Amino acid sequence: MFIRDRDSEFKDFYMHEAPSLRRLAIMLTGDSERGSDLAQDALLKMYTGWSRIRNEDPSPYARRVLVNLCRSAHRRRMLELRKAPAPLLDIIDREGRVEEALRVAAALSVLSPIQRAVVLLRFYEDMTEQHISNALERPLNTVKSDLRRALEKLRPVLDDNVKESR
Amino acid sequence: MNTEDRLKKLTEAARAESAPTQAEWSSFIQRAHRALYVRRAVAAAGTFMLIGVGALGTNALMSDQPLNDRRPQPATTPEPSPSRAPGISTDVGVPASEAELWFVKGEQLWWGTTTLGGRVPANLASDDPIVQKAVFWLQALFEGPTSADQEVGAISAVPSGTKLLGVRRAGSVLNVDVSSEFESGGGSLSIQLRVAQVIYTGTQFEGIDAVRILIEGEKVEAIGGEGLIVAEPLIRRDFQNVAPLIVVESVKTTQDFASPVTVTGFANVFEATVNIRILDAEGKILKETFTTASCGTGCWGDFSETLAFEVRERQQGRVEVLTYSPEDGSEQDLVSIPVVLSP
Repeated sequence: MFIRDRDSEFKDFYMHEAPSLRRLAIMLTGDSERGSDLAQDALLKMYTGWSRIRNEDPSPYARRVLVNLCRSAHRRRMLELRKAPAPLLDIIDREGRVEEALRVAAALSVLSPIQRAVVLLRFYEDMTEQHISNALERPLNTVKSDLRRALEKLRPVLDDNVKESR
Repeated sequence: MNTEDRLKKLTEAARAESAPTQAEWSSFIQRAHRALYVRRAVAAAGTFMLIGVGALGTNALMSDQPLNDRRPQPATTPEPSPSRAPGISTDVGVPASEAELWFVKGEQLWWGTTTLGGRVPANLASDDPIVQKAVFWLQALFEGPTSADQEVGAISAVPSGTKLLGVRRAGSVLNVDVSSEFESGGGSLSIQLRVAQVIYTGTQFEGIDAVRILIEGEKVEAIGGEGLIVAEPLIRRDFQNVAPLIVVESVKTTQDFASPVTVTGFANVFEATVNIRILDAEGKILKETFTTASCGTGCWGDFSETLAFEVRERQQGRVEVLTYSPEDGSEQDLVSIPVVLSP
């Protein structure tokens, strides 16, 4: 395979996946600039390993790379983040649902990085629990309990019934 | 709205995202290419420093070391292998055997099986018999086609002067280190053919499925002006555009096996019909069958067939895969692999 063939093959992947990876990264990190950088880094890693990855399904692999990058970036910035106020996710909602998006975003900031990743892969990427388990190389039951705990944490913030009953 | 519904609404937002622009792609791919070159440069710089430090250390500690010998010296003197005379750098004999040497005819790979015995230099010799065989046959490959092969029009796309620097085995991958001449000259087809010659010659040995090419000891991303990617180990299937019409992957040269034998590979033959036969030491057909590849007549398909055979004693034999001409029934596209058949 020549570099030009890899480039044209990778271009299809890039055009299709780059936007959702970028958005996923922004939501994982809570920071537009850092998220965009991490998504770019994940895509670069995908590109350099393409001859190895291309024969498998590259989309879940890209998500694993991205989540791992975000988690190590998070570890590095753990102290900073602890002291900082809850990150405000700047999600540009094309249909004007800014308030709704910000509400979800703020709610996600209460989750641990892995919980946030599982929730986003499940609801934002619309992946099944089995696919998340494969993509993150995390046991299925662990993914299920990640998801359950995350939803328990989110419910007080996001569930109208819970809030009204309070 | 409950939590799940609210989160699910995020998916709709995800779908609304538009594709990146051409400019974004161009900037990304430029950055990606730069990253590749940096990786290669860093690897080369690392080795350069190692050589430098190695040479410094050697010069300081061993004053009798000839100064013109610029090769890096090993940190510790290896124990002489029992098969070699201690202290004397002598070639190691390799008994005559039959193997495939992959050359080029027209614009395709072409194989000739040749029986050769000879010697390998002590510095390339290995205690692993497969590596030893690979060294011997890759050296023969780099020497170019024999006069008999030349008479039938075989040439080599490997530039003359290319030297084999070393062969190492990591599981089912053979790491073949070649000198920088390997990269010189030739267009993209020639580059592809020369790499394929090494991959096909290297993967004929038992236990070897893939070959990685190193240039002067370095892992490289790509070689040649147009950048043929060699970063990962390569297999026979990676070269279907220059492959002969039948390629066998599962049966290896001089492999020793008992009945039954499974023959797998890929082919691009008329009506996808692939004939497989096993011959004994006298050339008598012990078993013949045919199978259908998953695609044929203009496309590549996979085939796999298991054949049972009976032999009274251990003997030389052959596994052959071929097609018969739809016009006159003559044998075509023959692949003939020397094997050892055991009862």
